[in-house]
Parts: sequence; structure tokens; C-alpha cells
Amino acid sequence: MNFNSLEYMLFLPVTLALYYALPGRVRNPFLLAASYFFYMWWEPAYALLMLFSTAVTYGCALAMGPAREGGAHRRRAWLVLCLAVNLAILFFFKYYNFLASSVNSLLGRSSGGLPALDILLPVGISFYTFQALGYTVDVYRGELEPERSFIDYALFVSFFPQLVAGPIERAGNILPQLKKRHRLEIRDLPGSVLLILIGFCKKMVIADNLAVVVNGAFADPSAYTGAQLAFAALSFTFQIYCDFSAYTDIARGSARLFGVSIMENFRAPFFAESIRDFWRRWHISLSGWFRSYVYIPLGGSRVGKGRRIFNLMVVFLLSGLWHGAAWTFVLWGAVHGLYQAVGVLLDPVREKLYKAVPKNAPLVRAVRILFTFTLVCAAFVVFRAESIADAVYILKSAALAPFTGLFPLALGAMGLTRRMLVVVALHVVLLLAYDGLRDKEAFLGRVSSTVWQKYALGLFLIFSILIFGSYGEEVPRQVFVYFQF
Amino acid sequence: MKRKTKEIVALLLSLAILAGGCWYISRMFMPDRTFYGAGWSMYREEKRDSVDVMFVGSSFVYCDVIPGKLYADTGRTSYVVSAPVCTVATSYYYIREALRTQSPEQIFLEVSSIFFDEYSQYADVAVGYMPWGVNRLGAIFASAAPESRFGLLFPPYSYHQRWQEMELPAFFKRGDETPDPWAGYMYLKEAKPMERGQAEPVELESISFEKNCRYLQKIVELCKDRSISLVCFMSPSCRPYGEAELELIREQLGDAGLRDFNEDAEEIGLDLTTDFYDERHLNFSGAMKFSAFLAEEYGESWQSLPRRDFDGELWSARADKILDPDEGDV
Repeated sequence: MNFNSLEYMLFLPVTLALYYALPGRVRNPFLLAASYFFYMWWEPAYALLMLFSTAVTYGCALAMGPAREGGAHRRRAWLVLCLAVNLAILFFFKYYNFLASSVNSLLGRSSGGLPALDILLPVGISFYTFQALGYTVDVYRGELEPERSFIDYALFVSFFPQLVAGPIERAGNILPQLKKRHRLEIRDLPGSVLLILIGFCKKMVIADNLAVVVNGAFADPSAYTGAQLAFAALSFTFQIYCDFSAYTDIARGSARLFGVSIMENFRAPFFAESIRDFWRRWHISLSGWFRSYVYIPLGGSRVGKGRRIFNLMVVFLLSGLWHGAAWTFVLWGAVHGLYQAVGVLLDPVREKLYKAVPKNAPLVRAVRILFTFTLVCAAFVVFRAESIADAVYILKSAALAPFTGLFPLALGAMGLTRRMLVVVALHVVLLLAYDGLRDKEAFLGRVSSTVWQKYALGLFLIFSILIFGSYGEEVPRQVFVYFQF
Repeated sequence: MKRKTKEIVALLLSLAILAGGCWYISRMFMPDRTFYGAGWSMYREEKRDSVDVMFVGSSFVYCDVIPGKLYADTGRTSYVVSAPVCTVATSYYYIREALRTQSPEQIFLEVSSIFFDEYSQYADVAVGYMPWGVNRLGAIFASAAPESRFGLLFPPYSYHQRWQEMELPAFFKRGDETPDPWAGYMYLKEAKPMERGQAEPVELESISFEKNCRYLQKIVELCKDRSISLVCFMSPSCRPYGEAELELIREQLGDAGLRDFNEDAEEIGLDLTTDFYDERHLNFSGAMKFSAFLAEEYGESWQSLPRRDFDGELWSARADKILDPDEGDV
């Protein structure tokens, strides 16, 4: 079930009403059933896969037992089994055909070699697999006791607000909340509803409208000028941010209604002053997962420079691969790894520079932010392009645009009317202003506790969505970008 | 003001603003409708209870009957209440809606629609422009395919993006809130030479014939209840239905009977080379001849109808318009 659908708009209030109407001991089983219903709306069969993965991780964690009971070899064996089974499932559904086509290309075979299989990628498999594996590793490390209640654990894995596109939550955050008995506090409703509306506004007004520009340009880059391709690259950067952060907002707002607080997944990423900073602000749950379960076990930053760079490359290559079974994603990961590697190598240079130039001077910060944003945009071109060749073409054309001619910009020829471009641009400015707030949670809290302000903001968001949103009979529905991962 | 009172006031005010906004978008963002039928905004500008005779049906009515010509020849007022591919069910709700502001003595119903599909591909137009009320709701669920009902129940879903193409005045006033100079007729100037033939036999299994018959009966009953004389007819066509199809209709109509104007093609004087827009629709020249025929056939009986208070100036203008059809042609 998509968030941006009539079904979800019915599903959420009905589930909420039933949840609070039910006695406490039945609530989690009900929410589990509702989460599976939500997931099965796409493809019922894949719920079995999720159930299997849940059962394996649950069983392996229980078999490991608490860390204090010792049995390191036994515990490691269960961990390895759990990792092997779940990663094998993930590999098969997500990467088998990619591997097959890559191997066959390498061997120069058009027939024979590894057979391609007709496999449909189960929605959310990357997310719930990583979430479940994170739990197992936490149990192994002794950071968490194994969860005894299968219902509670299964609900942690399948909790519908964050099931399909994250955030990838930690069991230590979610499980205790699921065990509490929640009361519906009317005063908390406005904050949750406003967060959901902000998400829908980002998705339907900004992301889905920009998708029109992006899809056209990236499908046939040669039909566009360098300036238009630069605009398309910029549009995609905002599209993917608004699309993904919208999902998180809706997920967080929806979860809050059930009394569950989900982590933030984005923290004003376009205000990052370095790539390192960017990854502390973008898809925080995934970067946190890789830091905890890959980067730090490899040694993290507490190793020599060479090893550190190696660790970073491994993490970012894996991150790229996690996003999808295509070389463009791997290359995107490699590009970010490279950015980080160069950053590490240039650390001493930067230290010297900031002795001469104040690091926090507004102009210096502005330059750093713009430079980082440009690097991020460029990397996103690789992420979105349909092939590496296309990515190179777009980057080259965009970079040479000032020399080949910026005008006519002809942005109105990219699929959106001039009026819509202006409206989207205004919303992007508002979004950046909102992102630029020191404490968005506090801001939302203040607004939602002030009578006239919450209704004014709510009305503004609803009318924005109603009038400027990309929806309707003639408009193909845009699924959330991260559903494909 | 206490907080609780403030909350309630703010909530009610917000709901009112939201409802008002949705109403505004529904009303102002829909394109004006001034031709090809379903011109309900213009219909509602017609003086109440000023119409003697009504013509109801699909494009076979709004392309074929000119109320201005009927008025010029008989001095009696008429109106064409129809829509493209208007199903029988929609016609039923059209009649109910039309009778809210008019009380015609006679209704002419074009009954080719008995062979139409259950759901019209033009339901967004036929039903979408109907005034809000039980008749519109009835038409939505009777004539619109399930996937298009939401847009009809909530027009912003279908029309919210039009703000991008609307000029500034359109945000404040609709352009179709004046009386229709054609009283529902659609002016088609072009002539295409045609050849006479016969329509393909209808496969009853492929249409919702039973449902269409049911609504036809409802129309017959409605007219009976309101003491309205009902004339069911087939409009002139290059490809009229065969005897088998006509017999099916006659069975449904019983005493109400069927008037097939294809039998009068010669008397009407229709010329296949100059009077048709396509094989099923008359052009202006053909509609003038057909309307003249109707005036000849029924004009005398209309003189016995009670005199109504109508806008003489408007009707004179409509009669003048047929002499100089002007803009609006296709």
C-alpha cells in the first residue's frame, strides 16, 4: 500500500481507531496483523518471505541467548547462520540477475552462462532485512537481550510506517516503545498530522512535479542542452530528497499516532559543509547502520590513513550496492567513497587553511555548503542515470554549459509549465527555510500547540497539496523512489 | 477566549475554509462548458418555467434540434438537455434535474441510447457538469465507471491542475453563466458527403440492455407522474437501426410508442451530401430542415399548450441567430 493513496488515507484512521479501541494485550497482535495487511496489499506472497526472515532472526537471537551466558562459539555460529540465510535471500531477490548479467557480459556470452530468472524484488526487503540483522548483531554483541515475544519482535520488523522505506530502526529504540501501553493524547495529534501533511506536500508538490523534468531529461539526455541537464540534475537532487524525506515524515507522523517515536532520517542535508557532514545528515539510519555494523568492525577511523580509506570505500561501495543492482549505484557509492577518501587525504591541508581563514565565517560556510551541494548533485547524476555513459554525458554537458551557452534556458520545455516551475521553486525555498531551522521538532511542537498557527499551517499544506500536487486521473502515480530499493 | 472555545472556533473555521476552498476549486477550475451539451450552467440561467418542450438524449439531439428554429416557426420555447454519449440512466437524471427549474408539457427523448454501453466514456462531461444534488449522485453511480467516480464526487481531483492554464479573469467568474444563445443546440457548420447504409446489428450481450430498459421505464413513469407527454424518437441518420432493434425498443415502450424519423427522411428533405456532419449527426443545414419538420409536425399541437412567461428578447435573439449563426461552428 502506498502512502500517497486513498487506501492509505482510509487504512490509517481505521487502524488507529481500532488500535485504541482494543484492550492493551491485543493491540500489538492487531498492529502486527495490520502491518502485514499493509504489506500484503502489494503482493501477498512476499509477506511469507518477511515472516521467514523474521522467524530466522528471532530464532537465531533466542538460540544465541544473552551474552552474559557465554558460549562465544555457539553464539557466533548462530549469528553467522542468521547472516548467511538473510543475506542469501536478499542476494537472490535483489542481486542474482545483476550478477548473472554482469558475469555473462564479462564472459561475452549472449546465451548460456548464468540464466536470468524472472524475479520480482519484494518491496522493502533491503530495509527490513537490515533492520532484522541489526537486531541480531546487537544481541550478539550483548547490547540487547533477545526478545522473547515473537509478536513484539515481528511487529518491530514489520511495523508498517517504516516497513517499506525506513528509517532502518534499532531494536533498542523500537521494542521498548512497542511494549508500552499508549494512550491517544489529543494534544499530540496536531504534531503528527502536520508532519504527515509536510510529507505529502514534499512528495506531491515538489518531488512528483520535479519527476516530470527529471524523467524526461534522464530518459533522453541528448535531446537537452547543458543548461537544461544541469537543471535536471538539480531537480533530481531535490526530487530524491523530498521524495525520501517525505516518506520518513509520513512514517514518523503515522508512527507517532500509535505512540511510537521513529528516528529522524534527514537533518537538513543540503546545509552540509562537507561530504562527511552530508552523511551525518542524509539517510541517517542507513549510514548509522553501516557505521555500526561494517565501518567500526573494520576498524573505523582508529586505524592508519590507508586502512581508513579502505574502510570508507568498502562502506560506500556496499551502500551503493544496497541501493540497487546496477553499476550506476555501485559507481555512485564509489564516488562518495572517493569524496570521503580525498577528504581524509586533505585533512591536513584543511587544518592549515582554517588557521588562516576562520572556518565559521559566513562566507566560508556558504562556499563550503555550495561546494558540498555541487558534489552531491554531481554524484546524484550517476545515481539516477540509466547508464554510466548517460551519466558521463550529462555531467560533461552540464559542466560545459557556461561555455556552450546557458541561454535560452527553455526550462518551460522540460515538461512543467512556467507557473508550476515558479510554484515548485517557492516550495523549495520554503523547504530550505524549514530545514534551516535550528530545531525543527521544537518548531513543529510550538506550532502544533498554538491554536491558530497549527490550523493556518495545516490549511496551507492541504491547499498546496490540493492545488499544486501531482495527482489526478491523467497523472501517473509516482511511487516513492526508495521503494525500488 | 478560553482555549477549548478557541480550538472549536478554529477547527470550525478551518473546516469552513477547507470546504469553501474545495467548492471554489470545483467550481472555478472546471473548464467552461458552452458547447457539445452538458451546458448546465447556461441551462440554469434560463427563466424558470419558461420552456414548453424539452429535447433529451445524446449528441443525436444537440446536433439535430435547433430550439431557435422551433421558436421562429411556432412561437413556442424549447430546450435541448443532452450530453455526449448520454446513457439512458443519465438521461433519466437529466430529466429529473431539468424538471427542478422547468415544467415542460412535452419531452422528446432520443432513444438510441438504449443500445449504449453501461458506462459512458464521456461521463466526466455528462455527469461532471450536473448541479450538485441527488440527481448528480444518482447519475455518478449509474453511468460513471467505478474508476472515474472519485473525480466526479471530488472535482478538484480531476481539475486542480487547470490553474496553470487559466487566465486571471477565470479565477473570479465563469464564462458559461449566461443563457445559451442556442438553447442547448450545438452548431456544426461542416458538411461531409455521406452514403446511406444500415447500422450494424446490436449484440445485446455486449451492452447493459436490461439496465438501459429499466431506466427507460423509469423515464416513462416519471413523465406519467408529472403529466408530461413523452415522445420517444430515433433521430435521422445515414445508418439507421434495423427493424430488429426498433422492435426491441417498441417492446419496451409499449403504448408510449416510438417515432422513427428515419421514415420521414424524404419528407424532411435531408440531402446526404450537404446535411450531415457525419453518418449519425446532422450539420446546421440538416438540423434546420429537421427542426422545420418538427415544427410542422408538432407546432399545431403545441399551440394548445398553456402560454408561458418567457424572455421575449432572448428568444427573439435565438430566432435571429439561425439567420446568422456566427461563431461557435466546428
